[in-house]
Amino acid sequence: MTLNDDQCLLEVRGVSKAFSDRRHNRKVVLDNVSLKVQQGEFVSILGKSGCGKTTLLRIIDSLIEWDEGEVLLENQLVGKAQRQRMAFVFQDSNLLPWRSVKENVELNLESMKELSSQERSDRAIEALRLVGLEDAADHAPYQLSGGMQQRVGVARALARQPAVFLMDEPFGHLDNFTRERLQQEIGALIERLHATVVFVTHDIDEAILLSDKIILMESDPGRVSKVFNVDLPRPRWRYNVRAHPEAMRLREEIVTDLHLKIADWVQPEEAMLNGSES
Amino acid sequence: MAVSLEEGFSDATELQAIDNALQRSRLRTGFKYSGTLYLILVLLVLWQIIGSFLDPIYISKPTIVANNLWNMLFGKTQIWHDIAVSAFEMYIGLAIALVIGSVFGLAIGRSRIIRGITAPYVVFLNATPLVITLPLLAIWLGVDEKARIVFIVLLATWPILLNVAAGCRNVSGRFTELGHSAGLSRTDLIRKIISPGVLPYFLTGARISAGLVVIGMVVSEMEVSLVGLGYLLASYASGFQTSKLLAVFVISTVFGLINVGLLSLATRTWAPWAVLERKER
Ligand SMILES: Nc1ncnc2c1ncn2[C@@H]1O[C@H](COP(=O)(O)OP(=O)(O)OP(=O)(O)O)[C@@H](O)[C@H]1O
Ligand SMILES: [Mg+2]
Repeated sequence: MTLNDDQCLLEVRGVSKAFSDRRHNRKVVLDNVSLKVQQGEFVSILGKSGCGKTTLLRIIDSLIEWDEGEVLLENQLVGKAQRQRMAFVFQDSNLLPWRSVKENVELNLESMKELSSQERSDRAIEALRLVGLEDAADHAPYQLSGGMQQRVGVARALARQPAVFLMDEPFGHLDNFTRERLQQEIGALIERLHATVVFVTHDIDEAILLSDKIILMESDPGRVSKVFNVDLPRPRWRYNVRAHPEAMRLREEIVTDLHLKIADWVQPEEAMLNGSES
Repeated sequence: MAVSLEEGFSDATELQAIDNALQRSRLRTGFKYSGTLYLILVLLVLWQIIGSFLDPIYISKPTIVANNLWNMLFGKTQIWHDIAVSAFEMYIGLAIALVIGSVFGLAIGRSRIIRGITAPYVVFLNATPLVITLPLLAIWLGVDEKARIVFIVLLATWPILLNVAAGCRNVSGRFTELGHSAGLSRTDLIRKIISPGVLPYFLTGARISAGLVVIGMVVSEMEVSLVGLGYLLASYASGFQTSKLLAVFVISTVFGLINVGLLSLATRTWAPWAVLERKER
């Protein structure tokens, strides 16, 4: 594989996408979105609900069609071979209820004809071991707690041994305790594996805790509004990060940036309130 | 750090607790039906007592009904021929309904175009009291089992069709994206995701239909037949032979129970996740 000068592993170039609603009105969801992900980098896409984060991730994995622009993995347009080098972790764990935990993990290997069934099984067990669930291999998904199910979702992606992980708010549906725990655990695991991750979230602290780079998106239409580098030492622990001056500065900056955007629609209301007071 | 990671992931106790809870719930289900059995006994006794004070033409008595039942099955007025005719119509009808219901259900569930075209007809036919087709069928096909089987099929197809269609849409919506991202081919998607996903819906539809075919059999035989359990019911009713009527009623009910029981068993064997998932919720 030839990589270009800046060692860019995944590149999204000028991607645009519009959905048409029931009345055939076109609604632009993504407008000229570009981003680059380096080998071994953890990149978060941060933006409020509905700004097109999931849509962007789906486009990267070629799960849906798009209108303009291109997606490249290792400088190749994404096709069948490239898609096999990416693994998607869904917002809800999406486990097949008729398969055991291990069989669910194996699903992600079944299109790889070069693997024997023994190799598939070994890889699945290894992936489950990485997320600490090898004992649950023969359990049914419904027997697991939400946090465990989500970890199986991560294991399913790990088993693919992909070049890039695409994670769509993998902790979004979890309760606070479980979310914090999984952020720590999965974060440490990714750090250890030097995995490349594109991580979608709407949680600023989560993004700061995990990322090397944060891509802030604005909505209607979805655009990249700003890119932040997260210069915090690793390994990171939640409480160190929270108190770290650089993290606090970054948080402040992101929040300010978000509020500047929000101000556009807050102001008229404020003006009205002031008006009625005077 | 690696150590703390390993610690963080230790769920042995949580898993153990889940296993124990499951074990307990399995033990408990063993006693589930005993209440129902007692209730049946009480009702039978009540029936016997009340029946003793009334003319047998009204509600008869369990003992007399049982006696009649014995005669019909093993005594001098055996009705095995009628039972066989009824069972034949019922199961042929169910089999055809299963095939037609699944095929059309899958087509409607998979294809938005087919769904769009057929939706009004499905709604219309499903809402129509299909009994009105019976005289028509008799005119077209004659007073024999053909008309009755067609009627049974007509009745039993809908639950299967509607359930399969709904299941297909549901499963596609939930898991198609997963299949695509796993790189599954079209056939693998159908084989590994759609088919197993639709199976519990199919079995649910089949269970409802397995009850409906008994109704279809009885109704159609009452109207267009000179044999079968439905015909017997009609003729005993017109002759005020309540005890015999109830004996035939018992036989028909047993058919219904067997059908639904078999389908429940099939669901538990072939789609245990659907049953267990529901129970845990
Ligand atoms: N299949 C679709 N058809 C029509 N509109 C869609 C479709 N998928 C997404 N959209 C629209 O595109 C916009 C972006 O959706 P998307 O799911 O990408 O948002 P998101 O940023 O992931 O939001 P969330 O944080 O809530 O998950 C939304 O307004 C949504 O209504
Ligand atoms: Mg989303």
